[in-house]
Amino acid sequence: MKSESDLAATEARLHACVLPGPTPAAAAQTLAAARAAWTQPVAEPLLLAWRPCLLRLAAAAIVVACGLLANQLLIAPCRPQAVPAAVTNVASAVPGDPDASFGPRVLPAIATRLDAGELARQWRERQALIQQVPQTVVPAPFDHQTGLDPAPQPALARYPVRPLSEGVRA
Amino acid sequence: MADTPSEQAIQRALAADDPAALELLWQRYSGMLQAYLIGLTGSHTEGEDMLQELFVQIARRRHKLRAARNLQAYLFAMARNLARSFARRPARREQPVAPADLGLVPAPEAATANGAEMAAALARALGGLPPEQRTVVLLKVYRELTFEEIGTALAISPHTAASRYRYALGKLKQWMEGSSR
Repeated sequence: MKSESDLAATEARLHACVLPGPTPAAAAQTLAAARAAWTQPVAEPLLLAWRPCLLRLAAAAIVVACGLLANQLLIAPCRPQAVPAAVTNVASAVPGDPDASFGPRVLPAIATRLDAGELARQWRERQALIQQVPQTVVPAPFDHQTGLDPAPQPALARYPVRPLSEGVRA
Repeated sequence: MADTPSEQAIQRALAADDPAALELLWQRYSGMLQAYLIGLTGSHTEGEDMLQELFVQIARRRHKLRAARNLQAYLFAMARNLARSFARRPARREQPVAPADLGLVPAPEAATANGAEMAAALARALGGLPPEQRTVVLLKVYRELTFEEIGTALAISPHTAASRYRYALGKLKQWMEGSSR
């Protein structure tokens, strides 16, 4: 740590010298050059006059660009995918389709891999399979509550039909 | 200095686009700007060249000076940028680093052979300081600016200016003790 007296001594040595200012000759030369530059026409730069507006415009553009970027990167990936038109029109694409709920039951992920014609073919195959099931009557289990034998039911009602999605995946 | 024009007078002349503003600026700021440029470059000759270039720039960019909130700080910033652009010039970079010639001369009361020798030694010692410390010493000792004024001009706090000054004096003291042995 330097003591105050040491620093004062150094300061005194510095004060024993002077740093001369600009000489009169240098002053005259400098001022002449500066006056010459002053008299040259200097148009105020357009950018300077419009600077406040340009700054606001640039700030607004940056905000909009950030918003668009955030939409692309953060919001759009989380938005549910729209069901392709081929899927929503599946019901009408199947000729003679009696089942109105066929279309909505189709998963979009499956429908993207299959076209409407393929779905219709699988639907026809399934219908044909159902037709081949023997229409035998099986006895229903005894109803202990009523004590009556229930009316016999066709086997088709209890036939374990595979979901369509499984058939499509297979 | 009673004849030093006020900053308001300079601003009025600039607002009126009066070339007399140049003389007023010169009277008020040329000394401190010259010391600052010498401190930055470590050379009296280069400092004077830059001062001339600086005043030409001031004349060309007077519309910016009118809008400056702190005229003195703006002028020092212009000087700083000018020194940087000079340092980047290829011709300047290719020059060998010359021993510092700050142009110090003995004070009239010490104008002896010994005084001249001491001034040269002091100039060499100051030349060995980093520019940011050297500028503070030159402005404080030879242009009698307060730390407050130096801080405003150099865009640093007065405490930073004061600590740079103390560091510089400490190094100068060491250098002088080493050279006197």
